Amino acid sequence: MKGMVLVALAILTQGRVLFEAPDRSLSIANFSESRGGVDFETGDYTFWATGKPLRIDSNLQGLHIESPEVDGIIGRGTHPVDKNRIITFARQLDAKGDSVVTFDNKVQHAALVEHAKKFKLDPPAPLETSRVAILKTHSFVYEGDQAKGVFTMPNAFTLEFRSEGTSLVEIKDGQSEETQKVRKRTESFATANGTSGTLDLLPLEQRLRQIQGGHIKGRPKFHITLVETTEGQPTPQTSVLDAEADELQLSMTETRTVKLIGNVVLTGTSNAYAGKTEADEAVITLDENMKPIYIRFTGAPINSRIRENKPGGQQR
Amino acid sequence: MRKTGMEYQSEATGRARKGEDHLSGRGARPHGQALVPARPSTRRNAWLLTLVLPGLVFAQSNFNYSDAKGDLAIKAKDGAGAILKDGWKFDLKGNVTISSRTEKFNLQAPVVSATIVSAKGSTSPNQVKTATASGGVRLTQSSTGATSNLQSQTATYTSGTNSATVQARGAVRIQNVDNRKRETMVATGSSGTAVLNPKSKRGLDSAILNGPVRVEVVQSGTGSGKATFTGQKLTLRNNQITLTGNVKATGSGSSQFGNLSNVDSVVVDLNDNGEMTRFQFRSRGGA
Repeated sequence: MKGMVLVALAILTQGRVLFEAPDRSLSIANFSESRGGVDFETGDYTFWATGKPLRIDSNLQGLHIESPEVDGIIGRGTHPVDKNRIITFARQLDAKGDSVVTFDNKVQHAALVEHAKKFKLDPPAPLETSRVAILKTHSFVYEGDQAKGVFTMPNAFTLEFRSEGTSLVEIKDGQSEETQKVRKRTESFATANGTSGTLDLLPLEQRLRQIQGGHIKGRPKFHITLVETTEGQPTPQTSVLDAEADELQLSMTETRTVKLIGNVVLTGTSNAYAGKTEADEAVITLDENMKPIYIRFTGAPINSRIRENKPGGQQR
Repeated sequence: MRKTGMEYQSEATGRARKGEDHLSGRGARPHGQALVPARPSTRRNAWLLTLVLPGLVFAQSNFNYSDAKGDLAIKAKDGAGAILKDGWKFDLKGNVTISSRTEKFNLQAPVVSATIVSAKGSTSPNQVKTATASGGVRLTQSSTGATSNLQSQTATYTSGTNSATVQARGAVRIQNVDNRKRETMVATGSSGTAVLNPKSKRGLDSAILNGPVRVEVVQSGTGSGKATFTGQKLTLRNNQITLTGNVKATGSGSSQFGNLSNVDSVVVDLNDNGEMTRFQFRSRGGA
């Protein structure tokens, strides 16, 4: 129901619709001017459109783009996993002007639920953690296929990650030393910016983390604020981590790491890490909720004091 | 048309003409009365009568006309003819069919008023100069490979030097059929103009439909792929279909490219078989 409401809201707020995919999973709307065409030899749909802003929604990818001007190609092809299904996807997008790209796994999940109903597929697992990633840039180029894609930002950009989720954790009872399971709510906010860079996208990532990696140049800054509220504990724990380096590499696959390369400066005020460290390289390992759980420095760290949380809130 | 020869007079209308064309009119008003020679005095007239009589016996309809070579055939349940300087003017009713073998043209309607003249070199009227049809018109123009069918409530056909113009009104439908008898295009509108030419591809030089208009086109290289476009005006010319005015496009079958909407104009490119190879759109102004 919530999913249907989200999809309905998305349709109501999208403005004048220029294009809609056959399964309604991709749309181009709120346009002022447009031109383009469909070439049946190649099967590609090419378009150029302007808007205030132009909106491109690819709900199955949880992808929402707002830009004043986009030149692009929409492709059609078989689903990378289910070869019996034909899907519509963005093959190429060239956005000009201040653009915002949002990856929202709630929108993606709602679309996947609707899609599963429509095509009688297994529904996706319930969403435990909501994640939103927002890319703000003056211009970008996206190139991809139905399985993967790359955003290239030639100019300055910022990337925000927001996640919110609840998990069960074990904590020790102070008196009996016995462990008990309690709910812990984690909210994280992370930013990264740079003068240029790339982001790797797995559009149909079923675990609903679309951004799989990235490379940021131009002395990027990385920041994480994490707020954890554990059941039975009245005061939430807040952790802050700031990092700066010549380059930054994001990997959001199974390892979930942030690799800082060259002239690294890392400062933190949290139970996990407190203090300031300068090093040649640093690799921050994150958990599902973007919480730093391990930091490894290489080079010559100075003035570092590192503490790492053990499961259940303990530190080691 | 020859000025000498037999004159015929319709007993029903009292009109007469000269020529060598074959006219029979059992149904010419009043029913059952045939057109008979006014002055059956020559041997030639008697010979021609022998040609007319089998027509009277075997004709499915009551009014028949054909020119000397049989290039033009007109049939109706009820017909009246008036002689003109260079041909005939016919007022026809009931299952009217006009077929021109040389112009690869066929017209069917309940009511038709037609003027026929002699083409250059013809000894008798063998060309439809004008035809005004009503009550549900079906018009077919064939060419070497393909055929165009036009349907409307009313239609006015006017032949020109190398082509003919049809002004159609009311539920206009233009259908293109290829040489494999496969429908490649169907366009509908509330009124329109079509320029027919038996020497052009699909028998249709151009067409303009006014709207709301809708056109369904087969996609090149597919068995079932079609695209449907709607708008306010449609122009078909030189293997291109142009739609204007709040145009929408959608694909079906194996042409499921999606839905395009709120577009000012769409230009659809056709190949020589009348199949769609691509389309382009444009829109200006808006939100």
